[in-house]
Amino acid sequence: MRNFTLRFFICLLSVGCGLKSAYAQNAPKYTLSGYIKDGSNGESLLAASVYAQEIAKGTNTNEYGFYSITLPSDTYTIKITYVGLATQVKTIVLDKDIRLNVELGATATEIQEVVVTGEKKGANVESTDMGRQELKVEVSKALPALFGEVDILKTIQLLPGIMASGEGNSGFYVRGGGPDQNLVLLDDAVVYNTGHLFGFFSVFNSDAVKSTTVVKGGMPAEYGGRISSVVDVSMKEGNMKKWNVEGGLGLISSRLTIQGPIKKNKCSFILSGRRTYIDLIMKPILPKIGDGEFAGNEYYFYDINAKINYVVNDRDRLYLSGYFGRDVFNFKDPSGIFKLNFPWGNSTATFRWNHLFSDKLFLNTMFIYNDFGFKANTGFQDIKFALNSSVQEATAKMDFDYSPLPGHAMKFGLQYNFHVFTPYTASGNAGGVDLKTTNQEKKFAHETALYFLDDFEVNSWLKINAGVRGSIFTFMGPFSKTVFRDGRAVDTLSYKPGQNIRTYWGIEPRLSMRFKVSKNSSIKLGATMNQQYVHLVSSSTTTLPIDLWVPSTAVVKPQIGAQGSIGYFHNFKDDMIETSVEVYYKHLWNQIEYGESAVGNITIDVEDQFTFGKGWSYGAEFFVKKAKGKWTGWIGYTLAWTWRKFPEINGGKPFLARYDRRHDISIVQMYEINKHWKISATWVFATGQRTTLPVSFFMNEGEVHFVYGERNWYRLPSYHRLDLGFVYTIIPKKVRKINFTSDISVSIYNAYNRMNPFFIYVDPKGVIGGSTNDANGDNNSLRFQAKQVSLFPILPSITWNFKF
Amino acid sequence: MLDNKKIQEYFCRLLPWSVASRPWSLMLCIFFAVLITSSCSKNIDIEIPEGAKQVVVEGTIETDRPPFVILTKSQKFFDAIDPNNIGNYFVHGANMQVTGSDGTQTELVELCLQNLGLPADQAKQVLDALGFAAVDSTQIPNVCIYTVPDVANYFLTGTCSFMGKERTTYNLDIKAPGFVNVNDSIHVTSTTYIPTAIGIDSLSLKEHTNPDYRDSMMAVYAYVTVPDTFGNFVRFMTKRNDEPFYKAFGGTVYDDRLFVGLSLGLPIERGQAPNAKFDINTDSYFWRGDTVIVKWSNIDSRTYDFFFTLENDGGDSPFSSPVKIKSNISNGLGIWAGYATRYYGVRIPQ
Repeated sequence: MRNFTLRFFICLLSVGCGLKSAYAQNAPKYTLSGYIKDGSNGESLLAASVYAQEIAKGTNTNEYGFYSITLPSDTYTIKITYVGLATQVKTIVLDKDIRLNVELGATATEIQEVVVTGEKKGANVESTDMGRQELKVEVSKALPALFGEVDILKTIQLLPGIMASGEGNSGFYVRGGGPDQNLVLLDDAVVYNTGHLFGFFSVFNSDAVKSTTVVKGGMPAEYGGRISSVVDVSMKEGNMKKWNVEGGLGLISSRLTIQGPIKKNKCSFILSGRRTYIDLIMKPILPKIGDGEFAGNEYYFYDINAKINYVVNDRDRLYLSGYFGRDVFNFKDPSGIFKLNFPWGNSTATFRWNHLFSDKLFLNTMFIYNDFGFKANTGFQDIKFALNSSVQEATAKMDFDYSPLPGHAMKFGLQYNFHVFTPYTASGNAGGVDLKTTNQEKKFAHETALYFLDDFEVNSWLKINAGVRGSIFTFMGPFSKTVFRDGRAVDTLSYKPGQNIRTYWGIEPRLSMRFKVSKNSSIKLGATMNQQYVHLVSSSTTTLPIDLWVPSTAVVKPQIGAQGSIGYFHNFKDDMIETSVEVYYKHLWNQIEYGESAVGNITIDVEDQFTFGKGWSYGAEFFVKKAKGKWTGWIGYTLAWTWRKFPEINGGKPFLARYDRRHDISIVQMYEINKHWKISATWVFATGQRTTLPVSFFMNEGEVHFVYGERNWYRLPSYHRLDLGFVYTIIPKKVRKINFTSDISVSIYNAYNRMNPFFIYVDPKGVIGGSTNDANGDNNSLRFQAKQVSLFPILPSITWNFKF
Repeated sequence: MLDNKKIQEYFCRLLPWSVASRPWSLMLCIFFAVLITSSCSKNIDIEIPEGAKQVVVEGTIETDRPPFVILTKSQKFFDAIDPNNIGNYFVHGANMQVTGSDGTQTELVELCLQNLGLPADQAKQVLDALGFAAVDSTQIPNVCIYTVPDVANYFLTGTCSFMGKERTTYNLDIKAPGFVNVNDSIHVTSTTYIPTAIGIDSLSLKEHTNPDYRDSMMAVYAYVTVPDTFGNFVRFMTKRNDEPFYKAFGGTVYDDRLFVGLSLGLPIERGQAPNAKFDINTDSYFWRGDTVIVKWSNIDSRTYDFFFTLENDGGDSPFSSPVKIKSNISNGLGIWAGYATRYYGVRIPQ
């Protein structure tokens, strides 16, 4: 360790020391490149390892399964590994540029063991990545799930530093950042609203998902536009080899996925659909709630994922993928007074063209469209109301992967986005008269970014990932706005189409360094700065369909985040056990909240209800993972503080954020008993969320009204929960040459029936001086009672999954 | 243990106007109603931090009426409340002055119900007028009010020494005795404005939407012409027969953002006692045979802000944040409200 420290300082003093050692060899250099695929279905493998044993150098495949490594001319033993698939070893005489495409087969034992991540061996110690995890969808499928709905976003909440936004919710907070500060991508398209049914289910259908990469700190320069984290979800590409059908029947939804080759090894597709039948289940229940006033409504959601990929030739590959999901809520009360039709959801479409210019230069060109929006049509008596809001985005993007020299993996690219924000737009009609729609103008903006990064191995113990991202954002016309003061219109702003209203730009440096301390341990440092130009401000902790994304404007400035982290990584027992400790500090500027008196009035431009401040958070994350074997799993513990300070909230005093959580523990364990049985258990513990409760009351017109105490002064009781999962696999039987497998998956949510706090409300009953009984038969004198609401008791569920 | 009904009540006031303009409120309500069929609520005890008590003003000055001010103290949240002892919440012995922008001025004097020796029915009327409609008149608490010294003239003749006028600003200046030490005077001030009364053009009646109720109930519509410049705010209440004026569950205040420059008919939601049970079928309707009075007041923006924030505070839950009620009182809580009021009546045929 002392030796290491010494070397570190010597290196810092002699600039370029590492470069010298890396380039000192005079032998001619050649490039080994190619694609790594899963032999069983032709799916590209992300982060498969290609490793030259003789010189202990290697690289990983990118999202498209492509790798490129430049080495001095020699004969190498190349080892290609991907956890869960059989390793292949090839001897290569590298006397010219060589293309080596490899298809990895299943392991010889044919045991479908659950592998926690798809990382290469020792990757967590070797790489410069900090706070980065790749999660295979199989992990989510092996774990117990609420109502049996497998949800990748709920799985990532089990990682240290990532917290669930609430009971049963797929929303999450990363290292003290807000929910809008997470960049959630589905095949490179931004997903603006990740939840169905107020976030209780995520929009990601697990059958269509291949892998998920989570970056919670040290965001590399290729990602931008958000300041906290990245959740990068890749859809499956479609089986290139054979037709494949899989699906499941669950308690509240069913899924069906079909994939197969259109032309074998050339072109394939996948089509996956999911629909809930909550509406059918609830139909007999609803009339029994209350006085039957809910009988007329129905709710369901569905989503469709589709993807086609086409291998044009050895150098070109095309992908077209899309997502379409909707939540639909229809309500008609029995008396016919209200009618409501309320659909909302995301759609995304991504076209990608992979092109290989040379063995060293890979280009991915993308055109992406995505939107999120809701519509609501309501009416009562002869007033009709139509309300909608949306965010739409068109993106063009070019990402280059370039490996010109040994030990260098460069990425650079550019990105352009055109944003259209439609605020709550209400059109109404009262008895034939159209209501006014002042200040409901669309907002238009351009966003452009350029980035460059180099992940380079300076020498055997130092590896640096240095990058920079430059971004520029312009809020532009056409736009007009009436400025109000005390309810009176005092000014009207008007901008022509294309007129520049406000421009912001930022330079975002990203740096992470890995210092190898020993063969199986390393120290990593990370420092990043990010800009965020689009914002979501919510008064709730769940994702609501009405969540409104807004751009940076003259009023709203870009959010800026800076994060520094340091970590120690150590693997034991031949990488069987991975451990890490990471400490971070994060500072956030231009944070946005609703003002203390904001009510969410749709007739006021939402940005005029905002107030601005700053935030900071710090903490430590401990992680132990057993990645291989019959018994796998991990334990994560986070100790964290999250602060906010707004001049116009809490009298300007700093306060702990609602999602400040001092302690957060996740224990995730999976065990494969035999070919038939897999069991799993997760236990989570979290310090209670903070909430603002009233501290006093006053009277007005004979009624009681609340005066709230300091922001988030009260902490709810702690949250803890045990979930159990059992999967029974029915042994494959060849039925008419079809290999039909199925399993029955049983989940028990909240196994020991803990009454966890969902929220607390104060129930003031009665009126001042009342003495008669009210409608509920309560004596009507005034009293207060704080009540804790718990959402889910023990909830067993069962799902049947099949595949052939 | 299951307390569905109450949680549902807490979230589900299916108010016509708010549902139309914020349809998700209906959705959240139903979502909650469904969720709570599997959820539980339990009583918990919370230790409330000690906060300073504040002076609370509930003052009105209306066209052609003298000012009335009720002065109370805010109370710690979980203090037990003895309904017969509300008298203790009142702040007695304050010096109070109202000054109009037209140069008029008056001192207000404190009148306490117990000292007036009114017959029970008159005492009840006074309580109704002050918003204590639910108080049992046989156990009248010692409710006190600050008003002009010759307020009796107003009740007898309809006029007195100081009455509200339209297009006039009124300053309220209060020096209340300290809560701990009576010699530490608390100085509270406020300003309100009585705008021009715009009123409504006419009231008319419409059939109930639901045929099942057509024989028993009707909707009352107010036809209004809204000025074409922004900045007009309205507060309304309704009164059926010999009931007092009550507030509608859906709220009492409107701004003109959606209506500026329009002539249109708006359904009037029926005002109800605060402890009445909400019923979607009857909420917006009046019974046949009712005599309905609509009290329609133009107010200034700060009075609107107070009532709008007060009526929209949903507390801290996963679906909402607490709302700090906007007050126009400096060094205190509450509202000093100017009303430019007009009254309109309609008789609903049997």
